[in-house]
Amino acid sequence: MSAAQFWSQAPAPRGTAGDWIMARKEPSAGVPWGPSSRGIAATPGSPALWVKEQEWRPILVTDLPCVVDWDGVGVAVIADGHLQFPEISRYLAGGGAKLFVVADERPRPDYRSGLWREVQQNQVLGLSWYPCPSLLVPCEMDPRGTGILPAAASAGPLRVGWTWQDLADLRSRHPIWPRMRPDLYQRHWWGRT
Amino acid sequence: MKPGRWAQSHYLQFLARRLGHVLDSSWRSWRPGAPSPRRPADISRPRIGAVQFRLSPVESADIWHGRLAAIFQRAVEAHLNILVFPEDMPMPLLGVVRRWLPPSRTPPHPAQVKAFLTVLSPIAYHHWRMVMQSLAGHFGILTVAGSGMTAQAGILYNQAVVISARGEIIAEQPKMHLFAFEQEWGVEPGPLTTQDAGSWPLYAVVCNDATYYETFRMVRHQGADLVAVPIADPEPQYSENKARRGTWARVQETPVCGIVGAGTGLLFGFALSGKAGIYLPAELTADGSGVLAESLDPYGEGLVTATVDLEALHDFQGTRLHMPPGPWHNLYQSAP
Repeated sequence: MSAAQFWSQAPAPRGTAGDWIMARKEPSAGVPWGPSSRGIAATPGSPALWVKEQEWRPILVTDLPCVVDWDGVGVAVIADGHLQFPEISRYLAGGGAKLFVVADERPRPDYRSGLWREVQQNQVLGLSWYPCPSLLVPCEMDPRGTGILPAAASAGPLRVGWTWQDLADLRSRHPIWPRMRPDLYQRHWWGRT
Repeated sequence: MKPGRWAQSHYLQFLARRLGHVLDSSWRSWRPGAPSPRRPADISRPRIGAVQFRLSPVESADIWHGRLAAIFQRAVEAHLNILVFPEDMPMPLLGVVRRWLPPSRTPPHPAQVKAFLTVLSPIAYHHWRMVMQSLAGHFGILTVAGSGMTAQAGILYNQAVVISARGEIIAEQPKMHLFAFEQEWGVEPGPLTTQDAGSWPLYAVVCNDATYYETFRMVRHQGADLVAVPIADPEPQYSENKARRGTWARVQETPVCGIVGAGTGLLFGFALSGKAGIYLPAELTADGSGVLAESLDPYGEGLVTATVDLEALHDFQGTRLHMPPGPWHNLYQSAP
């Protein structure tokens, strides 16, 4: 099963909001999460994803990174190794991905050098277990300025929620994309590598 | 007064004459002290300093000169080879004409700011550059003088100035990625210039340029191992997380040493905060933090210093993986 196939079967979010469950129990040493009652999980150091339908089961996803359509919004599924190349996140975000999920995300000495960094510089959202189960957002979307909205720890599964409009508003107030200089990048680097 | 008339008025010319006169007479009477003896530079292990400087307007240019000279004196005593100052370094000098500015309870119209900066900023810029050239040459330190606003053919740029240890201008690098308020003032983004700092592979960029990883990829592609980033963040409340989105994050992606000179204080309505710092890839710092040296106080002044092992940096650069092939080859043709 490809990540795209998995996502195509995932229940759509309600209206303009995202609602994501982060399971408390891990299928192995991995980090499970998923939209609604379905789940997708990562096993550190392996490209395999754990998928919850009736039970958790591992599948090998071979088409990462990719962008899948989730009710009209692009979700980027990438591997941990892709995080060291900001070009890949830029490409996926430029192609319309607004939510990032890392299939084999691993802890780092400083979480800010992982998915958090890509969330900030591309003004997207990210689902991460580091530094805690959370929705990663641009700092301006977090009243505390950390860029980390921890999953709610009420009874039952952990949950994070958001509205896409909040992200659109943020991009309007703090526009990063329109100030890019692709002419310079092409002249001094990208076109010369 | 309408913005257009304000821009054409004799009033701005009056202010320009006052500013030029005050700065020139102040500098003519100022003499730096004798520099301390220098150690020979170790090319593979430069000693680097990052300056945190209060940018609040000054009423006397003498005070501004004295503060700069004191920093250079400290830098010499710390045996520094490279010194990096913050963004907007000449701006405090505009304070010497503040007493003649019309009082206002509301922020000026962007067109008024543009007119004010177009006429006055080149005078402060020229003076700042001349003072920094004198100090860099006198104390024998490769200096990124920070950045300053200036106008060329009526177009405003915010550009960094790099000065050799002999006091010669090496490069003037305009900011390439502007903030929204700068664009409202009529500031234009500039190109990437060639920067040859001689002994050390140093490039300077300006503040918001470090928001974009592409900046560091570009200068690394030109051969930079050291990237100086003068900043003056309009953040009344310092946020470590927001700060980590800049140079610290960039050197984790592009393995170079990032040197941040930070402006603080209250500058014409903008409350500034930020820490001077020297950053490396996390793998090259003993505690894995990626922070080689950093100021403790984001609101005050100071000088942080460190020795950077360029050989270790080069070894680390050699271990980096190449990007896997993929459809991103047309990245900047498709980016919005």
